Amino acid sequence: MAKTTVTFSLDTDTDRDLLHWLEGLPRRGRSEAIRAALRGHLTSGVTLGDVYQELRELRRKLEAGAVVMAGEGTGSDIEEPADAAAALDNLGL
Amino acid sequence: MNAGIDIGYSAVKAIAGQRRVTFPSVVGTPERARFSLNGDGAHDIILEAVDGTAYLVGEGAVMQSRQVIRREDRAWIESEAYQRLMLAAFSELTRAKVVSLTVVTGLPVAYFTRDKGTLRDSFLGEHRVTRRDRHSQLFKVTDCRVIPQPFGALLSLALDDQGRIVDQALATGAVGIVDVGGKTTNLLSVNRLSEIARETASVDVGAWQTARAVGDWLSDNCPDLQLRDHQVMAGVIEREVSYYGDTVDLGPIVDQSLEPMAEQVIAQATQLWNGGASLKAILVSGGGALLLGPYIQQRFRHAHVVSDPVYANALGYWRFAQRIARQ
Repeated sequence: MAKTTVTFSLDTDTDRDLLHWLEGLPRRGRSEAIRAALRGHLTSGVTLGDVYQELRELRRKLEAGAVVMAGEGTGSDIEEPADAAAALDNLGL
Repeated sequence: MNAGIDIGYSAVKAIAGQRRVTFPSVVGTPERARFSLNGDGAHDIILEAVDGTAYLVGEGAVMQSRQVIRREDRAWIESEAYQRLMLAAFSELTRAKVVSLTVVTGLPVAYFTRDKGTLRDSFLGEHRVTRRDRHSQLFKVTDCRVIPQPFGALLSLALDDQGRIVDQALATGAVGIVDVGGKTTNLLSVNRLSEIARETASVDVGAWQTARAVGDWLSDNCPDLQLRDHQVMAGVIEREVSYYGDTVDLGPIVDQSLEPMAEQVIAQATQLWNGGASLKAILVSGGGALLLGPYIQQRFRHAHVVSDPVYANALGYWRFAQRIARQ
């Protein structure tokens, strides 16, 4: 497999964060880090391995007795008109 | 899985999360040879009964079956054809082998009180579905609510995907809903999410009435055109058909059929809702909403056709199912 070199430009002001990150990379291994970052961007950065790792962590917490809140899905942050909510909950009963 | 299933005389609409499906409410008689000869029937819904008999459901039945079953009577919900449409809807929503379900579905307002128990019982329990070229599936419906059909459109707007009330104006106000179905048009009045029974009625007009009028006209004017009901309905919606390569304009005959229907619906709504001025909004939904909507909007300036009117009821059912499942 042949190697190819790609050059690109950065703005010292607007891309300061990227420059800072690049400068922080070890001299050997820069290309590998950039390739990984680009590939991560192309695949949204989430791999099946990441999902599996998250699930294992969640399972570990549940087995340890943690209470997991459903967050946005609980509806606790939305004020519902009580009578309308009650009418709705009885609909079709 | 939580599902909203709207089995109408015209079409079945079903939603579960991001998955939404629709197919004509048609069950075809067994035509085994024709199934296998058709190369483009990869997505045909073919249900196999315990005795090995196969039934083609939906679009495939419209296109391929020699005889089709399409009923428009109240006892339809107790028929085998209705059961097959229900099973086809389940299997279209998921390929999972074993599924536990909370279902919300609906009935026309005229039949609601009498038939809701019957319909709920037909949904509840275990249903085994065998589709050709698929593994067998078991659906366990553990909870089922049957609500008046037009409520679906209102709930599609008042609730979010978690089933929470997010539109306070609709939830706390008086709202009229005109649900234009295939056979009937349901008028529902709701105040603070409670039905106002004395302001609720059903009118025996629907989109199929126009389809029949157009079908009769085509028989006289395009005698060689052999169209099935659903194909005629497609012509009504597009306001044209093709005949020996020529485009036949159906606009005038469609309008001629719609005007008296619209007048009937508007007269009933005006009487029921005392002119309608006190309602916060009038929502027009159902498969015929796009046909009758313009007429209703001319009479009631606060009327509007809901977004995606064909799916609105099923979406509201699903959002309500999401709420029930959280309780």
